[in-house]
Amino acid sequence: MSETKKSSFINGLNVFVNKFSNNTFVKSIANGMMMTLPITIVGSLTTIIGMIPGLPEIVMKACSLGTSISSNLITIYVIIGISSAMAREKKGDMISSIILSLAAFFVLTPITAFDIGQEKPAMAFELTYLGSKGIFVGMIVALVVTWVFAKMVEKRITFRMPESVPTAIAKTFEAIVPAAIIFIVVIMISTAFAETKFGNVHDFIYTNLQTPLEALGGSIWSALFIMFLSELLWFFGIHGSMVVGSVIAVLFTTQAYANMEAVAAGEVATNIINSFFLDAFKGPRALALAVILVWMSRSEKFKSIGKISLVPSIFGITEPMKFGIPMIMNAIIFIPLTLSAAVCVGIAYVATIIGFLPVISVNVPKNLPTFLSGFMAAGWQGLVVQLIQFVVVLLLYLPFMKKLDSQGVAEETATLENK
Amino acid sequence: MKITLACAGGMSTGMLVKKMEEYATSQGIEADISACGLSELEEKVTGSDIILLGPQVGYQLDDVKKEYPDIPVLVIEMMDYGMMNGEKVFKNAQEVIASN
Repeated sequence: MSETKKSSFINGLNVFVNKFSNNTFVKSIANGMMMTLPITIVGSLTTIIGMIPGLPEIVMKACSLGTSISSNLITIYVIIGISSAMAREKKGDMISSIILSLAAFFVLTPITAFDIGQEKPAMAFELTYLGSKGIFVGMIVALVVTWVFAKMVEKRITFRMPESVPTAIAKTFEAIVPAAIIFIVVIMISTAFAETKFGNVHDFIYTNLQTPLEALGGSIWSALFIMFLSELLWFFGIHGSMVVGSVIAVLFTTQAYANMEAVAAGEVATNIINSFFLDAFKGPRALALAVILVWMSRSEKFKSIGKISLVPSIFGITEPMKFGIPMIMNAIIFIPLTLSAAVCVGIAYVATIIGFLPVISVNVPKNLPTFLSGFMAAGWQGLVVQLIQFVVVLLLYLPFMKKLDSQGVAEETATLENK
Repeated sequence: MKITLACAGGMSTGMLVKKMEEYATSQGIEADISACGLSELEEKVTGSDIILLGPQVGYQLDDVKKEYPDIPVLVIEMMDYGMMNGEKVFKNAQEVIASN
């Protein structure tokens, strides 16, 4: 491509990525889901501890409590997270938005009477609606309610208080009209659905949106494609995982939380492709590259980049290598760069379907050192899979890196000779 | 002089910050240099003389400029970032701050 065509393509790409990432809804999903991380990680920790054989019963009970509270109530945390993220984006009042989003969600969630062997039945929400099955409804409610609320306050659809009323009181009253309108609309929606064969919004969304989206999005092919896409963005110097983060959140997290719930209930997790799986088994590409740079290269440039990058690479940080080798816009490294993540996910997938690797149902913290993350996610089998991935990635990159390395050596020798 | 670097998570830029601090100290210059993720920029940016963006989030340049019209915003050069060239990035930042 000519230079001008290249740079206008890059510009166009940058503009597109910018628009996509900064889209209010995309941003709110990405940031909102991130806020639930501490809970899911701790829940995962308790799950892992609970799996250690031979623990006293009281410890197992404690762990089981940790797991169930984090996974069975995930929708609540998601609502709070996404609503607060959206409120920040639209400069709406955060607490009011969260309360309103939760209220709207609860309006749409059936309250049933459960016979608990006492004279009055207990009125309760079924945990199903608050867990992974409810995430989509929760997401949509949080996004829409918060957005509408902020817009209404912005457009002054509100009681106008006389000037003499103190600001704090006026603000509270300001929130009343939008809140009332939203609340009434949601009640109407809920009542309307109760008359249809779906009975409630949850079942409607779950059947018509969540299930097809999970089937479409949650397949190995979409996972491979997204891994490829994420690395392709990196080729153009754009932080791939940041951009596709919300797509992954929408397509793959419900499966992950469903797995967590299954384990909490003492059942077997069944969703092989899920966000925890992708996070843990994207592959030790950073480490493999750093090893090649430090121990398998002859050019001074590669050796020094390797030294800088080695320790960060253990934590999955690749920027020094991406910009130093450079891998960005480097046609020679295009193939291993775009394919390695997909190849690793493929390896882990095969390992799971042949029954070697257990289905991943725990969330390991991002940037946990390589090999430790595999072990945490799936015990020694996880470690073995990561070791295999490490070797495969190394072999995949080696010929291309050797080519770049010899170019580097040639340049360095030429410079020396010209001195 | 206060310099704020921003990238995706603040981790790789954190390494560059260290290199920049080493250079600043070696030159006897007092500088408050820190790194953060883009989402925390709003909180961390007060009082900054310049914002430096990691190249991998360079696509956000225009938006960041719009958010903070009074603070110069620069995207760090890829090579400098890759080699963690604290000296060059610091010097660049100094020049831009001086000319503002």
